[in-house]
Amino acid sequence: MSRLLSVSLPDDLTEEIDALAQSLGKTKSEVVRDALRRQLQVERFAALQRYGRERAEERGIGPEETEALIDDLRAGRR
Amino acid sequence: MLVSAFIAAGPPSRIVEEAIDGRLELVLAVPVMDELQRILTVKLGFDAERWEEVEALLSGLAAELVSPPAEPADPVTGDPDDDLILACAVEAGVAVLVSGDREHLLPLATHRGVRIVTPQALLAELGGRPRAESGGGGIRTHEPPYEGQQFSRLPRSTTPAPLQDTSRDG
Repeated sequence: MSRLLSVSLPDDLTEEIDALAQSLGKTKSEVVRDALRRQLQVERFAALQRYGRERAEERGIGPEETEALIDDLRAGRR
Repeated sequence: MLVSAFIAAGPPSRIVEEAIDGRLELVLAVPVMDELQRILTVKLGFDAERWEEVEALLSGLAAELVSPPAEPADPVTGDPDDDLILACAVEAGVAVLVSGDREHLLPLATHRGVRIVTPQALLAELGGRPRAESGGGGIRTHEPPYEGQQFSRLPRSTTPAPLQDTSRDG
């Protein structure tokens, strides 16, 4: 299912989207959809990383200690 | 590697960002996702809702989720869990397995056509590849012949198709 979303864009951005769509052989809608999807993924990832950093800091765990976490996990399963 | 990506900015998180940008094809393995879930939820305290968000994000990015082969994995790395991850990479036919595991995986360098590299090494390779960028929109395209194939399987000989190893920091 899809909905129509009306968005106002400045002329220069519209021209860039036109040019990019033409060079990629895509419709303008596809180009805009791809860009939005990507931006949403970037924002989701950044939010999850902030959350993860807080959880790790609470436990005093740094990125250099992830190897030890894996070892612990695997040792517990064996 | 994915564990690091979700707790700090650095090369592992940049690999995820490159996948978001469509500059590499992400292939995930079931045992990798199982370990990632256990570490994030049990060791780091991610709540169920956040784990579901992680899973949804990665599922949306991944071109494929690979299950382990039916037959037992060959003992290659000295660690049966890493053997399983390696077997998944071979099964999927990926070009590159990204790992920070300097004890078991990285020393192999290559196994049955799969190169094993650090996140830093893969980023260096990607950095050496030219790309066209649009202004302002964050839209990037591969240079020919990759144009328009951002999330499809790309030729093994020319384009890294990493299978993420969650298990080691990179």
